[in-house]
Amino acid sequence: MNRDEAKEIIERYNNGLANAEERTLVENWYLDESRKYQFSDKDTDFLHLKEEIWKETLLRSGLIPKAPKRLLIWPRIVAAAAVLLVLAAGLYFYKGLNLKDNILAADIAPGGNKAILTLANGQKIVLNDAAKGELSRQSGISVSKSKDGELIYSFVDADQGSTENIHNTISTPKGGQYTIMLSDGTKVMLNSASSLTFPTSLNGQDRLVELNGEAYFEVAKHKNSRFRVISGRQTVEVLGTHFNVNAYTDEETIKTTLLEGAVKVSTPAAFTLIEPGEQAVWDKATENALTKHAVNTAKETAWINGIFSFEGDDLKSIMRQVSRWYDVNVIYVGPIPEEKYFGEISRTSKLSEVFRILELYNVHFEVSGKTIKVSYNQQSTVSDQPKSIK
Amino acid sequence: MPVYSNFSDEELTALLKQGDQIAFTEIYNRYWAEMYYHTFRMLKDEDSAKDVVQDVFSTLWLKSSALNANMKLSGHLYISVRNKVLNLVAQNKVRNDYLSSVAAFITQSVNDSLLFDEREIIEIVEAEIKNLPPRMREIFELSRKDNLSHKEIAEKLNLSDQTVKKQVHNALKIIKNKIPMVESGIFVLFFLR
Repeated sequence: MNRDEAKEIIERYNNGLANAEERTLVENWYLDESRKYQFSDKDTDFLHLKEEIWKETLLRSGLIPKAPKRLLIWPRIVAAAAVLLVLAAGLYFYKGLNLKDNILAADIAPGGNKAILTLANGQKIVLNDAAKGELSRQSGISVSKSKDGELIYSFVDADQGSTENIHNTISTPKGGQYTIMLSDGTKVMLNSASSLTFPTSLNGQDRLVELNGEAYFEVAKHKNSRFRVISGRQTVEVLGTHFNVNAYTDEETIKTTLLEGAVKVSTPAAFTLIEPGEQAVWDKATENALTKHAVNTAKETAWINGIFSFEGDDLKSIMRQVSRWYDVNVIYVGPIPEEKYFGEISRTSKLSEVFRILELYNVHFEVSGKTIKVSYNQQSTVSDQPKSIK
Repeated sequence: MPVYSNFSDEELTALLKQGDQIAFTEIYNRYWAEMYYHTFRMLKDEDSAKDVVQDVFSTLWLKSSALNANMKLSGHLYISVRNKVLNLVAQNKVRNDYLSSVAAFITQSVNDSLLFDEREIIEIVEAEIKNLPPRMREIFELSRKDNLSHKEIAEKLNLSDQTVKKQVHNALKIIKNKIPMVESGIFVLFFLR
């Protein structure tokens, strides 16, 4: 028995597919393991967590509405009821109860690690199929795939660190995401339907990459060397920081969220410096307004942890994210009210699970092939939902 | 929490199925510390343990109408936590190398028939809760006995004082109809307040 086999057994268990013997083994291991830990008196200071855990429990239960954060694209709060969606990783536990109601004949799986790498000579490498190990070598730069499936650029030998301007592009399809380590040690996680063009050798004073779509950057700090990300007509300039840029062409704004360090966001009309915990928002249509405000960075970067996080997002915004991750097209039938949705859904959920949650709030889905028809049932209102006490 | 703290787990489950928020609060008061303790033992990380416990309780509320009235509440919560932890184990999102631990355990257990079945495991867990180190036990008991007045409940749940009173009253009616064996003492306690 090795780790992989153990993993398979646990996965079967989690999916309700383990046989009686396997179930017994997993449950006994769990019991055995949990009894190994001896609580000491210093562990008893967890009691202050009671209120904290309760408050978050109420939020996730939809029993208290979350006060919406100020977001530029939703300047005022519609009087619509706050809706809390919760889909925890453990939903499968209840699957058995609901499977019959499932409207989807064929389910749609979530996205995964998929991307295409285009080399300077035009050669394309499909990364989901590519074997581990070295994939290519271009002018002193080795491109390889790590055992975790990350793409790694590294200098083969320092002298050769070429000044040649060779660019590669990594692009993810809808339903894909990919992590890449650039030759300067900068790590970039690319969300679905996005692309990043970068020089294979990033060792000068000016490191410049171009982003379409969304990516999370952990820029390696190099003395006197700036790192710039260009998205359309916006430029983000940093020295060494962690930040997220959301620059999808089908979104009205470009959002730059800073987690660590400092960045400068520039547009043709203005520039601003943002601090950790802040987000710069640039409205692409008006071009003039570049605003910044405090945000919940965990929500803004939830995708890198495999979560869709909604805080006052409307249905269309949610569906744009769904469309990118599940590789589906969305059509709206009839009026869609401006409800605000709050909560989290795992990006490992199957599409039917996402729909099952949204259907609790009177949203109806019809699936044919890769097209989803979305309609809204006006009859009842969401406030009839779990709030039993009025 | 007066009245509710005297309800048995079965009574609380019946009320929870009716969508009773105060029953939900009492269940939380009763079990949060044990559930946190169990989760922490496996995950050894405060944030992930909090996350699991929040998920287990909020899912209990969101799926309350589908609960099996005959289930054992403590067992249900234990299994919910275990499912979530095993999910994290499968995704390798835990601090320890549990996959190797599982592999070793299974290899060892092949010739060993001393395995417990599901029901026995839950009995063991319940017995363990009762046999905690004294200090820990005291804390659990304290946590569970922190009785709140109607006003405090109202504040916590963002409801009016009157609503809570009415809710307590309704709860007693439901309990009375559903479970004929409620001790009359509870009613005396309630009406005297």
